[in-house]
Formats: sequence, C-alpha cells, structure tokens
Amino acid sequence: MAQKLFVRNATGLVRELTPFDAFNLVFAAILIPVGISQALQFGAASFPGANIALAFVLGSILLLGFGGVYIFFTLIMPRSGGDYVWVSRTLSPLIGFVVNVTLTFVFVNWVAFNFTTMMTFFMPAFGYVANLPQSFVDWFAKPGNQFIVATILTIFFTLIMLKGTKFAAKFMRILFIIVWVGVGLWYLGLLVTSKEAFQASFATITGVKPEQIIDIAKSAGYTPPQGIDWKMTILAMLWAFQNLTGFEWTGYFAGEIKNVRRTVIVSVIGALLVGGGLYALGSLLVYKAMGFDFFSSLSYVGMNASDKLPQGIVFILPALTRFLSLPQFIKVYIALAFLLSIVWWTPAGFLLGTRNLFAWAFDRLAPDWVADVDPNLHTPVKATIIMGLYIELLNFLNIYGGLGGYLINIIAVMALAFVVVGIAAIVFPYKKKDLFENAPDLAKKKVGGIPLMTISGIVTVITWGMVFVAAFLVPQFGLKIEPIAMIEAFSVPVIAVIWYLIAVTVRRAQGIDITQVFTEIPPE
Amino acid sequence: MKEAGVLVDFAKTLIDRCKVEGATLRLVGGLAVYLNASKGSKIETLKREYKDLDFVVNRKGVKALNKVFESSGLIPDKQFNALHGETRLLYYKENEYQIDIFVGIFEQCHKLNLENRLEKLPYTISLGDVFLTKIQIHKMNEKDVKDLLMLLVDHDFGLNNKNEIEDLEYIKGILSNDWGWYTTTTDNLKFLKELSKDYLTGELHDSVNKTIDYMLETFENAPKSLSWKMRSIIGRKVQWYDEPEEVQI
Repeated sequence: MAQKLFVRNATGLVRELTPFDAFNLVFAAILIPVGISQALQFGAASFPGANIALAFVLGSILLLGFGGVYIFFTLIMPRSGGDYVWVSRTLSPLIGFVVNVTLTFVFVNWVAFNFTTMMTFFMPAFGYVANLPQSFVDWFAKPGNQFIVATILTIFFTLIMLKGTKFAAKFMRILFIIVWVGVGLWYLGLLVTSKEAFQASFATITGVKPEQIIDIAKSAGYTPPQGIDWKMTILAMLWAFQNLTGFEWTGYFAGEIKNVRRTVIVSVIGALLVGGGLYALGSLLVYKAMGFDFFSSLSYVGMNASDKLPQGIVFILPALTRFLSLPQFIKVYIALAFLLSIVWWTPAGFLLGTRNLFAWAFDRLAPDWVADVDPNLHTPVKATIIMGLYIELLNFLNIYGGLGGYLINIIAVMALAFVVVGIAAIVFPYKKKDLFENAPDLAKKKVGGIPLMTISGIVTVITWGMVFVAAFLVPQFGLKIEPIAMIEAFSVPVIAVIWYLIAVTVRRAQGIDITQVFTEIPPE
Repeated sequence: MKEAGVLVDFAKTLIDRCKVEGATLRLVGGLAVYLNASKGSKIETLKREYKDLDFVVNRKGVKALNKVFESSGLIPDKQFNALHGETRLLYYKENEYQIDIFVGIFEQCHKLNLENRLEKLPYTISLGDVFLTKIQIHKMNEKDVKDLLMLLVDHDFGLNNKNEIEDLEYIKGILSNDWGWYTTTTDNLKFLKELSKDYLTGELHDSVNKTIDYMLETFENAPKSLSWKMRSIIGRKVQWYDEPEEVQI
C-alpha cells in the first residue's frame, strides 16, 4: 500500500453544494424551457429570417469571454457575492455595489417575472395539451388570482430556503430530473415527428390548414425570408446573450461550493456549452418538425395578430407539443415539465439574492443582523424573509404595475453592469498585481504577453457593449427611449448610489470607516 | 499552542454550562481521544500538541450554545456562521485558538450522524464514534496516527474487554452498510499497522496490532448490505470520500 502521511492545518470544511449542484444552479438559471419558448416565439417574429439556432451557437462562442471573466475572478477571489466583491476590490466600492445591486435587482426580478410567465403562457399551454376545462385555465388569467398564486409560490419558496441550502439544492436536484425527463422527451418528440405529420395533426385538431396560417401571417405583414438573413441572425444573437445569462452565476455562491476553484470551470463552461447546444438543437428540431415557414408564420401571427389564431391559444412551444407524434400522456408530461421548469429554477434566484445581501452585510453596507443565523432553524432567516418580502413586492409591481415592460428597458442596464465587470477584469492584473501573481496558474495564463483575464474582459466589454448600444438602436428589443422610461430603468443604480452614501454616513457616525473594509478580501 | 489539560478544563466547563442551558455538547477530535486514552496519552512517542477545540452539538442546542459561548467571552465568526451555520459553527477564543462546532452531523471525508448518540459519555462522543471520526480521514497526518494509536493502546474494542463489544458492533454496522466507510477504515487500519512500529514497542506494539487484526477480521467477515455490494462493483474508479477544504479565515 503506497500511502503516506499528509499535512493538514485546521479542521476542514465540507461545503454544502456539490459540483452537480453548482452546475444545476447555473443550468437552471439559463432556464432553457422558458428561454427557448421565448426565443422561438418572439425571436422568430421579431427577427424574421434569423437562424435562431445559428444565433445561439455564435452567441455561446462570444460569451466564452464573459464566462472567462467570471471564472478568473472566482479562481482569484472565491467569495460569496461574486462580482460585488471583485468589482468593489478592483475598481471602487461604490461601483462594485452599484453593479451588484443592479444585477441582483435584474436577476431577482426574473423570479417574479417567471411566476407570471408560468400563469399567463405555460398554464394555458398545459391546459391546451391536457384538455383542461377552459374555466380552469382562465382562472389564472385574472390579476387577482395571479397575485394569489404568486404569493403562495413566494411563501413556498421562502419556506424551502428556510430549510437551508442543502435542502434547496436537493429540491433542485429532484426538479432537475422531473423537468429534464420531460424536456428530453420533447426533444425526442421533435426528432420523431415529421413535418407532414405535425402539420396534418395541426390541421385536424385546429381545423385550420398550415397554408392558411402562412396567409394570415402574410396579410399581417410577414415576409417569408429567402435564405438566412445574416443581419437578423446577428441581432437575434444579442438576444441569445440575454437568454444564456445566468451560466456565469457560480461565483455568487462560491463560499458554499465544494472545491469551487475546480467546479467553477466545469459548471460555467459546461452550462454555457450545454445550454447553447441545447438551445441550438431545440431550434433546429422545431424547424425540422414543424417547418420553418409554418412555425415562423405562427409566431408572427401570435405576436402581431393573435386574435386571428385558431382556438384562441398562443402557440408557444409547450402548446405545440399537442401536435407531436407521441402518446397523449407523454405530451401532457412534456407540457407539465415546461411549467415546472420555473419551479426548478426559482431557488437559484432566491439563493443569489440572499448571498449578495450577505456580502453587503459583511462589508457593513447592510445592517449586520441581515446575516444572523437563526439558532433553531440554523439558516439565515432574516435575509431569507427579506428576500421573500422583496419578491412579493415585485409580484405586486409585476402583476399590477407593469413591471414586465420595465424589464425590457433593464436589459440596457444589465448590459452596462456587465461592461463594468469586464473593465474590472481588464485592469485587475495590472491594478492588483499581488493578488494576480499569487492567483492559481490558470488565472495567470497569458497570450502574447497579455493576461487571458484582460483579453476576456475586452471581449466582455465588446459583447455587452454591443447589447447596450443595440438596446437603444434596434426596435426589436422594444426598448422605450422616452426620458421617463429611461429614468425608470436607471433608477436602480441611482438608488444604489444613494444607499451607499447613506451606509457610509451611518457607519462613519458609528465610528467605522467603511472604505477600509474594501482594502481586504472578505474571508471565505 | 495550549496544554491539553488547560483546553480540556475549559471544554468541560463549556459542556457543563451547556448542559445547564439545555444543550448537549461533546468533544470530538484529538481532545476526545485524549480524554478516552488515559494510558496512551502518557506514552511519550504519542504525545502531541493541541491547537484548537472541536465539538459537536445537538441541533436543538445551538441557541443555548450561542448563549453559553458568547457569555464565556468567545467570539463568533459571523460570516462563516452565516454561510455554513446549517452544519458548522466557528468561534474564537480571543486571538488564541478557534473552536469548531459540528451541528448534529459530523461531516469530513465521511459523514456520521451523531444527533442521537451524544449522551453516551459525559464529555466526549462515544468510544465508537471517537474511533470513526478519526479513522475516516482519507489523508491522515501524524496527529491522526498518534490519536488512533493512543486510542488503541487503551481500547481493544472487545478483543479482551467485552464491555467494548457494543462499540465494535456499532462501527461494524456502519462499515457493513457503506462501502466508502469500509474502504477508508480498512485502508487506514492497515496503514496504521505499518506505522505502529515507529511509535510503539514491545507488548504495547503487539497488543495494538492484535486489536487491528481483530478489527479488520471482524469488518471483513461481517455480512454486507445490498448497497455496499452494489457500490463495491464500481470500486475505487469513483471517489468514495469527500475532501474537506481548509478555510481561509
């Protein structure tokens, strides 16, 4: 037996999240079932002629640079709070806080936004496939009922989080299996269903022939593309960026992931490549099984003349499952899996919110009690309840205050925040030489004498800079550039600045110089 | 670095105070071995330094523990506890040393649920659990080897002292249901036998080696569960232990 004695300094810690949990968190954040439904429903209509599959492949390749930024920073500073810690220690505390508050706002918004997506899009689709009574489906369309369901879901997920990180991770593992068995069957269904069979089934069930849908689309202004429209494909690629965002989140949970320096590479790159690949494959299979012209026309009519659709249903992907050549119970299961995918991802959004809240509290930018651990539940109850209440507020604003429209503008703000993270990566090797020189070898790699981290930062600034500019110039993004809409969108960073200044003032009154905190990296 | 006696006295005070407040706190790690090895701990070659305190507390006792520790002047690591408080707590005795606390479950290279086994001995976890928490380390250091030999000098787990058969049966039960536990334990026992000659001589050496042989034979001959057998088919191709990380504090 070739065994030897080792050196160990302290009682070791087995962190809570396994490498699979780390992957599951970021893979859930990509949320393919929702993303692909939106990309193909809205994308095909908004970017006529775009090859969505190609857009996802190209988008994934460009996002490798962005992923690199989050990997390198996690290798160097594996701390919960992710970009907040990195940017605050590299550029300035204020900038780091503003960037992270903004991104946290955007990401936690997705929780509330997806609750309503679940009820307004996925529930009718599920009802359609499962032949549920229309009155049941209609119940979810009423704002009052939506608010009741969103509130119940928020309480449910708050309770899940109160049970602890390990429990939430286990919950997500179970949901991963349930959702991906269903979504896997959907891919299989698309593969085995011929275009002829799909369109014949559509005509039989709806009583409307595919040619009629194409004619309706044309009369509504749709022009069938002749080959791939590259301009539209590139624009759709920018949208792919948005749908793939989330793959880089590992850094936010770094303090709780086992062997995070190893795991971050596999989880971030794995989620990006698997996610991008599955988006592309799904898009190709949809076109194969349904026919490009027919599907594009159906999407176009759904977006621009939905009153002309047969059976009064918006034919998002899970609804179209009804016409696949599969047994009925499998089709119902697939539509349910699309619905449940939102349940699968939600703990990831919750966890991100509480961990960033912790990071602010650790740096004294939030009250210390935020990070208190409840002695009975052994979990950070106060932070979890704050997040639950915040999501409930977002539910209210989303259902009654038109928050969804505001989210369109927030894409620009998110892109700008990522540009700042990219700038931090560009300057880090030069500004924080000590940390960089002591970093793991992979983070120190250079190409042509320039740190790979800097190159990744440059790619990030270019890619997200393009999204930022396009958000203002391209009408398909739906960005409202009126002053009021812009003020609304950029109010979150402004609030973050005010918050920071108040925190600094309060702490100074308590005799604490908050700026000194940022001269050190927080402990693991 | 502290004298073992000073640390043990302080640990006992904390355990007694926690008991009054309703928490069941017990020592694990090196000092738990020290308290259970009155003979072995006096052997010069097995003596070692003790750097910190390791405890396990029952889940319901955390509130009382916090109260006792903080009133004893111990400082909680709020950041560590916020992120890991579900399973672990960390306190400091001023700038002298750290105090690690496992909450209900001991988890390092292998996992051991101690929640319902904490009251078997007054100040430490049970003899069987002390052995398991030491033998489960995949990459043993010299202190681990000394601790295990110290324990085996004082305890033969039923080879002669029939009072300790219960502890051996407990260990056997865990090893027969978990191939990973079994593999690490038997690997380490064999390794320990190789190393014992560097620390022990004469009768002590022979007696410890006999205990190791007896334990190995018992574990090897014990009937195994279905899950043990299934996992054994995969064997060492898949990692069978966790790798605890050192935390930068």
